[in-house]
Amino acid sequence: MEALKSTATSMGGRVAKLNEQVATGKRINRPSDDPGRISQLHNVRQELSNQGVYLKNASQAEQLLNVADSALKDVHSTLTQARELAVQYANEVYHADQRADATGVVDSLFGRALSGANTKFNERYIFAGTAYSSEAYDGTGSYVGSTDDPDSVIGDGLSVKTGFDGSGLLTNSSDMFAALDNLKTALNADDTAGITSALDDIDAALEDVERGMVEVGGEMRRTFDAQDLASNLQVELTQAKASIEETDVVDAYSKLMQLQTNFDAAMQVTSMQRYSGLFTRI
Amino acid sequence: MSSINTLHIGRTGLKTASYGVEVTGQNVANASTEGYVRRRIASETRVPHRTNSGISKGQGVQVSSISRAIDRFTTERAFEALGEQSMAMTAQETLTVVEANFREGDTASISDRLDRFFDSITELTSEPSDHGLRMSMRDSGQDLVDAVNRGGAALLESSRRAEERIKDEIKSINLILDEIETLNRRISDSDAVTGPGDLMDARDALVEKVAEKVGSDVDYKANGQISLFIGGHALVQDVHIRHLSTDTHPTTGNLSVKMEAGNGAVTVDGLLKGEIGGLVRARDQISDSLDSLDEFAQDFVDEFNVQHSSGFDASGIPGLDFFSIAAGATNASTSMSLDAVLAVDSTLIAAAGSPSAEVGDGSNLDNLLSVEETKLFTSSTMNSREFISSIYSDLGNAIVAFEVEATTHGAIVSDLNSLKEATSNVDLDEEAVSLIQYQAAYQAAARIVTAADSLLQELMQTVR
Repeated sequence: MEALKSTATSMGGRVAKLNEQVATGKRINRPSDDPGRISQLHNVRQELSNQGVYLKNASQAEQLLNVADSALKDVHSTLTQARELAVQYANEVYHADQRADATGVVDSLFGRALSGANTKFNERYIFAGTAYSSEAYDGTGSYVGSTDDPDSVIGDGLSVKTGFDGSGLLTNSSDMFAALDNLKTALNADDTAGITSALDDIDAALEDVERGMVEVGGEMRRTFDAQDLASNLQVELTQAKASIEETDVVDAYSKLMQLQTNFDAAMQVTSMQRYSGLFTRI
Repeated sequence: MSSINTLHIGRTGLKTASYGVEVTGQNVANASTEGYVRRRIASETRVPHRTNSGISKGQGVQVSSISRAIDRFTTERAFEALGEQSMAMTAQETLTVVEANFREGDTASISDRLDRFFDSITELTSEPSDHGLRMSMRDSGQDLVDAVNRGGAALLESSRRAEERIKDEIKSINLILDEIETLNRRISDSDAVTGPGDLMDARDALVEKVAEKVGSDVDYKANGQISLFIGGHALVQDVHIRHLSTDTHPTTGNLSVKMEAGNGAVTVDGLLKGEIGGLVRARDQISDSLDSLDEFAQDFVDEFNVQHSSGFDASGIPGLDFFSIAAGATNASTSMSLDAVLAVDSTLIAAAGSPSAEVGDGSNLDNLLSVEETKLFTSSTMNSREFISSIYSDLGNAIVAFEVEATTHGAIVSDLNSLKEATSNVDLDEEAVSLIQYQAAYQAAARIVTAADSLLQELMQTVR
């Protein structure tokens, strides 16, 4: 009987634990299930959680950078048209009236360039730096944004720019708006030398925009790489988490059934024991 | 040889056999009685009568004692092992209840809430001025506070409950000790022949309870008395007992268990086994966990606030404290909260790194994120998450250790009880044999009486 009592006590705890494993599908439901792996499990959970946020931030950054890239391409296209116009009207064959008529086109190109420089994404002026709640450039083409770039965390120790200081990206070593203004002035004044000078300024502006496109492209690549890394890590960490905390439900269930069978057998044997000794014979 | 003396001898035989049958009957009747130790009678020849001619005439038989069949060594070891097992089981059971507040995979756990809090800061870096993301960070901070408060409160309550149980058990133990004292006195006054068997059975049942409650080293004496020791301090010594009491430290509020001593009281916390010893050990582990959680709350809050204060809120004003702990609080974990002003105004989150506080300036968020990996704990070897994990795993390790101890001592107790039962328990077959023997002895003694009576009858006939 002492043996049965001891058996019942120890089995009770094991049955409860196996029941819990089968019900939750997890091997580790509480710290005492495997104290040695708690820290590892918490690490994996934290990393998995981080990757989710990194992917979200990276996805938002990717959308913004795509818009920035498109805006820069548009500005580049605008400046290219301005350059072509300048090359055209620098030719001596044109007279003053024709040059004056071309100023309307320059006005239009100025507006397009300004619009591109003030591109918004989700109510953010992309090229205004951290002051992205208001325009990057005013109506005269002067930079009124911040000189700091906002960024977003997309990985462990990894950030990506989610906005740009326009004065450093678009109008770093040149001023496209001044160049367009100068072109307009030279066209009005029928000043071919002035047109040629404006052409040089437009070329410098085009180089600035091209450098800007390279920078934005670089940020886009970093964003793609970060997303790839986070996606891959999510898969690996999910597998690692499963291997640490999840139980083989089929195995746990079969152990539970075996334990139950053993216990029933022990009870059966005990119930069959009854006194058949000497007192029944005297 | 006189017939009268023969009658007398027959009578002693009848009486002794009658005792034997009676004791056998007592054993059989109590075969299923919990704690009953089977009795045995010991008989001896009566002192012979020496005649004038120098012949020793036998005077028959007498019962010298009725003793209990007990293996003192095994019984002492069984009680001691019971104390060890009871201590480990009680500690394990108590801590398992505490552990329910620290379940794995629980989204409301401290570890999970800590991860989510820093995730909310990471998310805020994408849009530092976004109202929704600021509120999310604030709410995540509140969730973290709630989880830490809950953990601290659960540990405090568990510690309080363990100490209340200790106090109740001490009262119960003192009553048991009083009963043991009473029984010991009666045992020392009892009849030498019939012996205090029933009293000793009752006393052993109480000693077993003492062993289960506080654990004790048991020492049976040859004179039937018993001594119980806790770590060398005598709890019971013959008819003298010492009561246990509890004492609450005036500053720390910690409860300790004391034993009466000649010049005051001696603290016996670390010497106790049994259920009370288990409760003390569980209480100590809970206190360690609470101290660690308080350390986490205090140091985490201090470091986070330093970083938060180094930044600027949406208005360009230097950051307030993000978290707060009530001044003079006994437990930082239960007193931790969000700063009351910041809790209702998320624009006060100091995300910016400069007073201009542009809408996209989240440079101070990097400083806040760095707190996650800063090694603040255990002599700068652990960061916040590692330290929280260590609190969980320390609790888990303690439970596993007690579980192993309980299983080991449980096996020892089971073995020793089996040995005890082999000696002390009633074996019906053995009693059946004894019954046959005493029946035969009674019949034989009755024949002697009949024979002596017949001789007397003859003598009477002759003398008439």
